Amino acid sequence: MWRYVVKRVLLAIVTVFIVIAITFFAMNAIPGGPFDKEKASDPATIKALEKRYNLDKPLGEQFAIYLSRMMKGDLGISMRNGREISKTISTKFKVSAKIGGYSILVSFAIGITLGVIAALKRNKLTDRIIIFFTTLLQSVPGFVMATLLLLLFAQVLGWFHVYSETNPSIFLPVLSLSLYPAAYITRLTKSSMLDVLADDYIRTARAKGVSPVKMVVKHALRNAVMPVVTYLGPMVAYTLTGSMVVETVFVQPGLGMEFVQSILNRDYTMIMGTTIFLASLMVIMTLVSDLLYKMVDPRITFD
Amino acid sequence: MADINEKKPFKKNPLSMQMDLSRFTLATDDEKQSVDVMRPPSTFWRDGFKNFRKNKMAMVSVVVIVLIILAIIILPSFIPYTYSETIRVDGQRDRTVTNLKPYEWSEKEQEYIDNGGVLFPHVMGTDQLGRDYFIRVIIGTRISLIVGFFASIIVLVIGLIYGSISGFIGGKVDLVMMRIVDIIYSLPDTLMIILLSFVLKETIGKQIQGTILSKIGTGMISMFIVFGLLYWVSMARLIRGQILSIKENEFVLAANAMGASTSRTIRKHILPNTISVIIISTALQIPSAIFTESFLSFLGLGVAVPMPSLGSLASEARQGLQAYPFKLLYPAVIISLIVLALNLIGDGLRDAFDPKLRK
Repeated sequence: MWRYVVKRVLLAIVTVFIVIAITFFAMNAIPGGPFDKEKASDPATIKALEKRYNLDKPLGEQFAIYLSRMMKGDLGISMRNGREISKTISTKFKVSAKIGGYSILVSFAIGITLGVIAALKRNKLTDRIIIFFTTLLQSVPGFVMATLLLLLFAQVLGWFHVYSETNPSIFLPVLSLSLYPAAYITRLTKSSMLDVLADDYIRTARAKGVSPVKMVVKHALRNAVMPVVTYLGPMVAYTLTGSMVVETVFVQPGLGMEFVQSILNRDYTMIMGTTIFLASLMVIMTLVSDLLYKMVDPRITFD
Repeated sequence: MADINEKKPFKKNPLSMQMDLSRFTLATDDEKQSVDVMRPPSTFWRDGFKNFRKNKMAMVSVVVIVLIILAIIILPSFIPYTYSETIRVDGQRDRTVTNLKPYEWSEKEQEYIDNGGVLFPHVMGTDQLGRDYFIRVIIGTRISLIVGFFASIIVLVIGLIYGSISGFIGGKVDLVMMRIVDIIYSLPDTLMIILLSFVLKETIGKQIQGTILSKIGTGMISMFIVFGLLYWVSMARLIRGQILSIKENEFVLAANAMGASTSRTIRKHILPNTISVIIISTALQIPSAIFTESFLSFLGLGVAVPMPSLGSLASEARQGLQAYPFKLLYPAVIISLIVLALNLIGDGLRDAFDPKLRK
């Protein structure tokens, strides 16, 4: 088992390194320096600025400097507002983590519940309704869904403010971020639950007179939930990219909105820093969820 | 038929090793009928399509997609407006034509109609720059479908070539090729797509100026490049896995034993067996590409203005949403309809063609 863990950790480290390299060299391939503006600045000023940001050195050396600084947790400073990127990320990420964490909880709760119901009521009306809505939800792009929810709850029903500085409600952001993964988890739970329910030990439990509730919760669900655990990694990735959409639509001051803003402002260092941070987080979460899956399910072999 | 024996009485040479035909009797007509082919043999395709036709949801989806495709081909030639130009009334600019509701006329247009002129109605109203929204939605649908279709073709071609080489050669080549796939696969794809689209959009703009490519626009080209760079890996994995398992079958051994060349073995014996998997995953790739395009449009990295796509239309409609919600609804409904229909078709194809699921 340790061999497998070491192998996966190594692959994750290589992946993070490749992400950093791609990000760094791709951003450096963009023609025009970050100090190019509509009206040309004084050449001496540009030289001084380039020296300050080490832009006058060869690219390989710049990369080495960037890497060694990153090891110390320093991602450089934003080229638009001069703030430290690592500080911006850590303050902004708190907002995103709150929304994302809640939405992961909500989507697993809704998804597993609906999935179990759909599996138990297989081919009945309840099952058909659930599956119809999950299919429908998976066909609407995230930002359209978020905007429609905003339109419905804030404009038509008037339950929430479109935007409130003092009392930002995270209900709508969490809801719109949860719908798509909840639909996915529902289908995943349903199919894995159907597999488990067809197993012999369920019939045995039934024959021995185990109550239906106990049979579903204790015997079937425990085994059916295991494949669902693997979705945790992709789910985190979805939540992080989804936060860009949701935070922009609902004006939440999180990392996602910061990233979208930095793309619009062409803030190169900020894009680099955020991409590397988010990508590393995704790789680590995928690794954790894969290892977790192998640990909870002893039937899986390590190779 | 029964007179063969009478015409040529059979004489067996005692030393001959031949069978003694006199010990056999001729089959009667009844017996012959049992081997008659009662109906034409069913082929893989005929079976698949028969199953597919039974799937009502999938058939409805096919009709929906066909109608949409016909609409985006035929309708633009009937509408006297263009997607990129402001509406002109009688050759003159009209400042009041912006942000009209569906089937509404601007003041100048109303005046023109009152004077006996004939105008084409704004079925979906107009946008904030005074362009007919109906034609923009139609052209946007066209662009979105083209993006989805070509992106999945690119993914298919690269994945097919890479996967079949890796699977067929096997050994060390396979090991190295699959390590590369593993690493690309573990990259966070959405983030890399955003990053690469951003970089490509900034870089290739100047280089393609003046060529045919500039007509397609930097946004779309960078999207295709990104798809070609990142999305092929799962297709390659899938095809490699299929080929690895099919390669071990007896019929491949038989083909080799009878002296079939490598390319013939791949073309005639291995690829036809992977075709169902290829079709299914290509069909399911299209909606995912349309989704990615709309996400990139939301970030401002999609197709270049003034060209519309469903994603960019929906994204633009977020401004002034409270006053003109219909501008979001039209592209949103069409994009959801297309994605839903394509997903259902993909699922239907999988149920119909995947031999593992067949009863």
